Amino acid sequence: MTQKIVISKPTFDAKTETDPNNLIFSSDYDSLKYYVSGYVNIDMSGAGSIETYVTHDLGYVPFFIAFFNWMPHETDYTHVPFYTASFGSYKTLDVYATTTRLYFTVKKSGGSAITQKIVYKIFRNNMGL
Amino acid sequence: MVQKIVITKAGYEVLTESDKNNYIFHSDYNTLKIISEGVITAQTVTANPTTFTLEHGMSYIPAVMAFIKYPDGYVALPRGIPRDTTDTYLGVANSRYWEVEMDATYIYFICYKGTTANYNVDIKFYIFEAPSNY
Repeated sequence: MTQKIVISKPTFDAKTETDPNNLIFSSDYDSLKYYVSGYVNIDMSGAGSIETYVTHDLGYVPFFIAFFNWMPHETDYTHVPFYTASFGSYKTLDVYATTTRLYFTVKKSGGSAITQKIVYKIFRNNMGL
Repeated sequence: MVQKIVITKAGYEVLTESDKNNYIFHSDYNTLKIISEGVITAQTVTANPTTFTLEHGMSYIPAVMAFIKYPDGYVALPRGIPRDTTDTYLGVANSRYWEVEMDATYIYFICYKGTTANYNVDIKFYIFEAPSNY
C-alpha cells in the first residue's frame, strides 16, 4: 500500500477525497519550492537597450517569474515580458533564464530617464530544458 | 479545539507566528499543486503562427504555466521574444514570440516566426490545480 500525506479542506474526508481542489495538501502532487526572490533596478537615460542579470547557480534552468512596476513612482506591478508601442515609440521588458543566471532586458525608443525596477522570484523546480 | 498542522521557517515560533510568509506549511491555506508537467522537444515553427496542441486530460480549463527555449539557448515566458532580437520597434514587431492558450480539452502553444527563418523550440509546461469556476 502506498502511503501518503493528505490534508483535506474542511468537510472533505482526507481518506477518500480525490479532487485536488478539495485538498490543502497531498503528497501525490509536487509544488513550487521557493529558492530566492529579489529585484533589480535598471537605469536608462533615454533610448537604448540595457541588460543585467542575477546569478542563481542552480546548475539547471529553474522555474521563474518576474514583474515590473509601470513607472518608478507607481506601486502597481504587472508581468514581464511586456511590450508597448505607439506611433513608432516602444518599450519592452524581458526576462530569460539559463542554468546559471536570470537575465533582464529593458529596451526603449526614447523618452525621459528612468530607473526600471523588476522583481523576480526563482523556484527550485528544475524545468529540464 | 481546531487542530492544525503548521511548519514555520527557522527562527519563528510555530505556536505564535501569524505572518503567512513565515510558514513553510500551514493547513489553513491551500497549496499550489502541480497536477501534471512535461516537456515538448524539437518542435519546428514554420508559419505565423505554428500551433502545437496538447490534450491535457483535465475535466476543466486548467491553470497553465509554460516556458520556451529558443534556439539561442535562453528560456523565456509566454510573449517573450528571443534575447537576440534586434532592439528596434520593427525588430520586435517582426520577431519570434509565442503565446499559450487553453480550453477544456487542449493547451495550445502558439509560436510565431515573424519575418525570421524557421526555428526549433523546446517547451516546458506545468498544469496546476485550479478551481473549475470559469
